[in-house]
Amino acid sequence: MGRLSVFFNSRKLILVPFLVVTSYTSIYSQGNCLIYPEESGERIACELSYRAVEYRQGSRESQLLFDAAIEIGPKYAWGYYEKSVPFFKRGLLNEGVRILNKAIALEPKRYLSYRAYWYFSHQSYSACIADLERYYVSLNGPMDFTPGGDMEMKMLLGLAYAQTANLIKGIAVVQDRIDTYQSEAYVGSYDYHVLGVLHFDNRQLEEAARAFEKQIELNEYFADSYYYLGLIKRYQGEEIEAQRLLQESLDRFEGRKGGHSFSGFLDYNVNKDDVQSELAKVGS
Amino acid sequence: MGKCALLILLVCLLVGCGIEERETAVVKSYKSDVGYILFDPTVDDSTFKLCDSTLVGSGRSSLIYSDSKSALQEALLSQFKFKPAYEPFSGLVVVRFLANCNKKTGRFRAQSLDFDFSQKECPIDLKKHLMAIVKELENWNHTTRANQDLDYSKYINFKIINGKIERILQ
Repeated sequence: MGRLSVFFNSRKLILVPFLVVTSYTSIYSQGNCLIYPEESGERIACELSYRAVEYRQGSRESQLLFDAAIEIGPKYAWGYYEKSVPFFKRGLLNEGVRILNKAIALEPKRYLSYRAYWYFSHQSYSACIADLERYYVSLNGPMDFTPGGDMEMKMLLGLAYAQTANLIKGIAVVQDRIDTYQSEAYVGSYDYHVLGVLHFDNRQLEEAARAFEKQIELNEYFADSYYYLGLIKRYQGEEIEAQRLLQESLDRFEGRKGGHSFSGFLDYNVNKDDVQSELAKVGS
Repeated sequence: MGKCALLILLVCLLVGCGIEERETAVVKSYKSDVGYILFDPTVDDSTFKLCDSTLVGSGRSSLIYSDSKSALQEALLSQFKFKPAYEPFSGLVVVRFLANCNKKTGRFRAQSLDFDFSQKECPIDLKKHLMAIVKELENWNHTTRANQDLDYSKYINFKIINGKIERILQ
């Protein structure tokens, strides 16, 4: 909730949560059962799935209802998708993907990116890239977001390219995503930060600094960007500015000025320990 | 189950049959919630007890080793001993376990996978070794968002390249 209020307090990001919520809802939500013919398998499966989600996710009761939905309406893809979710969340990756694959076979454009998200989360970068290239190129999929709406899927694609020794391609994908938004209001919560870390990894410090400065301009509460910008200033010999930025990052981590971190970048994540360690170096 | 019998069951569920009937139907299909690990006397420590086996939470963000993610990495990497026999394997090894409300752990299971999450065999010694080093971890804590009275299921995913740990994910 604190994080949400941070976004709403940042005037330039007012549109982002709205866009994320609407997109997220359209892709992952169950939808209206009335679109299916009365007494059809899909209609009954849809109604049963509504019953299933009344129970705790992953509970025996919900799983039984999803199985019943799948049995009677095997073409109703959302039932497979939602049944798979707790398996992924609880480390049963093989079981989860076998169920989700059935949803993807029925409606690849709607569910492929969810599998890509889990591949990315477990650092199966090649599998993630294969799914997202298929989604964006072969299927011409629209803008899509990670569950929870934190990042547009092209951010994951860019990060995945970077992790498979293709930094240049990763930077190009992320830059292109930012450049092709209809306006700045569409820019995602962490887009410029992702662009910054990829430039940073590619030792393009000037470009990285510009991206982090832009990220901070859009969201002054985000601790991670201050950290990376502090590192750049230190490498450029600006010790006092580096110290100020690292302290700013630490303050955001510790909530002294309001703030937050985000752990969806995997190898590019920042921990409080990292900030304290770097701060000790500039202070010594 | 025939479609007719299934329909009768579904109608019962939709109109809200008694809990007893529902439970009977549930038990036929599922012995537990997703992620719960049933006791197996052939492999599990019988002294490990859950505080309340009827409600086990998902510990993905409720349980943390020591006080940071890096502490878990350091503890596991320091205990990992590479053997040449592991080298042919590249993929994922997911170790799952339960932690009771007293933060004691038990019922460890391991599954080896390819990078697309399909099943893939790995050297049995590697699987056993990874389970053993997870078993040795004793310093589990609840995060601030956890319900302190709950038992939790937890998993650790080892990304293995040529028999060596490349990354540890939780």
